Amino acid sequence: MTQAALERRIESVLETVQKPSRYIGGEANQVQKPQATTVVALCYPDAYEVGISNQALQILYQQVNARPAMAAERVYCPWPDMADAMRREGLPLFTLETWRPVREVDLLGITLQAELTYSNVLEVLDLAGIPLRAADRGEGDPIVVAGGPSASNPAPLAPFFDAFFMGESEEAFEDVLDAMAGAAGRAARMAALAENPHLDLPGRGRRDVERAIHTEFGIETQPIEVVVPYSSAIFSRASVEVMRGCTRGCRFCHAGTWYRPVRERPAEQVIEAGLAQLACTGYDELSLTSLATSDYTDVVPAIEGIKERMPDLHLSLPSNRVDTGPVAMTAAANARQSSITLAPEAATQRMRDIICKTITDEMIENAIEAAFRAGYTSLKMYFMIGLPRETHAEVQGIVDLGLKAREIGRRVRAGGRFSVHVSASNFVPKPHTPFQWEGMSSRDQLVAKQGYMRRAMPTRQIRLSLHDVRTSMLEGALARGGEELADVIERAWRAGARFDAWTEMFAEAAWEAAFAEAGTTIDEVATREYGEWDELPWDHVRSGVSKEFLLDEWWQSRAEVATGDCRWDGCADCGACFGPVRNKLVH
Amino acid sequence: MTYRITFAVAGRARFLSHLETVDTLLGALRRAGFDIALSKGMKPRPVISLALPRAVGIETLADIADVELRGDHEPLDVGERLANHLPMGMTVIAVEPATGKQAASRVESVTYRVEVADDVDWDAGLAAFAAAEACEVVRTAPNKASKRVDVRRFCTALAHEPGALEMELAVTDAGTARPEELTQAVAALVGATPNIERLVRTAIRLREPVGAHT
Repeated sequence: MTQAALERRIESVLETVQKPSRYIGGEANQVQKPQATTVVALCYPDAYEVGISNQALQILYQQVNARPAMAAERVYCPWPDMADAMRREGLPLFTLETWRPVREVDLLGITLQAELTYSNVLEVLDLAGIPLRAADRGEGDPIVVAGGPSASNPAPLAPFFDAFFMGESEEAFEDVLDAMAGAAGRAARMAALAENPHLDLPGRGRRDVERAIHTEFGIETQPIEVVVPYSSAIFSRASVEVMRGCTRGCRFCHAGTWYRPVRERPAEQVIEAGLAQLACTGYDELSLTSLATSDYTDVVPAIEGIKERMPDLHLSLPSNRVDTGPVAMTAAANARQSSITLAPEAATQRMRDIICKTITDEMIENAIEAAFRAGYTSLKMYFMIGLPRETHAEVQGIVDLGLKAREIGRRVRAGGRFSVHVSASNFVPKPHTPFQWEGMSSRDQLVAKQGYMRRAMPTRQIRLSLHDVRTSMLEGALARGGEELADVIERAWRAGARFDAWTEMFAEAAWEAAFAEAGTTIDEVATREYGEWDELPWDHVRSGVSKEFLLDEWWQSRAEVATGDCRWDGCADCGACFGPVRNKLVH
Repeated sequence: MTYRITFAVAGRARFLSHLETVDTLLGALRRAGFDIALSKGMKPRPVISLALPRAVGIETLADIADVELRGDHEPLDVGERLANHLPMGMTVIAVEPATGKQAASRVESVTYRVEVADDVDWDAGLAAFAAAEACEVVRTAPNKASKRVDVRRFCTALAHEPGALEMELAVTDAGTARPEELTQAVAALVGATPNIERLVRTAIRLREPVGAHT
């Protein structure tokens, strides 16, 4: 089929599907390089509106396109109506920039941001016409590389990828691109990649791989001319990453380990990058992103500098610490916003000590009061249930804190309109965290706790949101599973599983049958506890944080003792700092 | 100051929805350096309105957007700068100062060109359509009950040339007809089902503002 014929047939199919703008490309700041000699397809294995805003892929898009002879092109997982139409019409998966068949690219990079996208990985490979298993691929097939935080446990998807890249791309992925440019053909390129210390190559046996770290974290790697999505995207705003890494040490948090140490960008660079991105995207909102922006030591000058130049700008500061100062800062950054989010994660001091969330009841209540006094009319609070060693008191504590927030709201708002939104997700233990040895709470327990919260939480001025236990259990099973899950994932996908994070799409029966055929269940794998001497499926992946530190933290959690933040309370000897790699704070 | 932007949407850009088209115009204006006026109230929004929504997949030669920009600008300058920032498939046709009520409240009729296969006796269909007092079609929409619509009453002009129907549809307080509905209705009069190959909105006619000179 010629390219022109392919494009005509794609357009014909687009007449029949929902949201065809997902597939057309052509957005502002898209880069087209038809003369490139090496083409890299960057895939987020979910719908366009979810994947388009992903910052990691924006960084890679800029990084690849900075090379004159290389082109980066985007691809997302087609929604089932489009996938069905493509299969019916015999159309291959294509990139957005050139509508080139994905199978014709040199490297297909797939970011693994969440376990519930794993079935979509197989959907993407199949629609592209690329053999699912790396062992079945030949010279005409692209090299398929995974990246992203969920790649830190490569085992469940190991047979489907040629390589897993561990860590941050800005510096170390250059070696991968060099290998792609310097060799021709799949076999020669795989040989050139063989010694890369940041690549796990399942087909070449197990060896230790190191997480790559962007040591300098200079502003030049912050994307400016980012692709502007059509309005259906979940995030449509400019964003500048002000800080990477977090050493608060929350024991449930994968990112808290995976992105250590902390590296900050000076305010003047953040301001310049933010204004430049606003100018070339046309956004009317700017977000200063990080894992905890209120911890960024140059945050006040950054806010003041931006507001001085653009007083009316909608400036957002996500992921703030629960305290009065961050609440006031958030309010000052954006006076128009009517809702604020606080994430205490746990409602009792005991549980916050277990998970190392170093905030107190007083700080939470003061933050709630400060939020209502600042004029917010909608307060959202995020919690988790099913945390290790949780008792009824912790669940009751969430209900009580919701009631307390309502009481404060009534007092401060004095008859004015307001609402409290309590959201409780289900704790899922993740690899490379102090809770990696813990089993997930059982399905029955989670359902019972959710039922209790529904009954105990009044509905007047309080809204309760609870996560689907079924998808949480699957996430738990996939997060800490081994290579034995690869067959399970393939079976579930063949039985129709895809878009598992979308409640309306979740094919529970397909997953249950796939686990059953492997002689186990979703719950058995998700609730499995590991012993401290057990070899873990991801042990060969070196995050930089030592297993000894994680083990020590696990024991500290059992002793219900929180650990201080090394930025202010002294080094906890986690192992993440070595040579030039260490916390780099502006102040 | 409010500007009336006439623009075309063709190629892959025709797959943008109405809301996406609005956002694409706003983003392009901001990238071009214009400051878009915001509405008053708790949640200020950019002051923009399109004369008529465009269904996904339909091309247009001359859609109309009224947008209020802060400051005074030469319409020609607005057009040139905007044109440089629109995505492929969207082009600026004209920019002029908007006067009177916004275009969205003054749409009188819309003309379409419907490209069809000539395996239908269109001339006979048109003759039957002209002779009919009414011509009903069943309109269906997701999550809504289907209803019967007399498309004849909205059709103010209809012509056939090889490979295409040209039609003008009135936009009234009681609604309007869709070009594909009219095409299907005409074909049905001669017992045929049409094969629509391309749909192009060719013009939007506005009522003259009250008191305007003609």
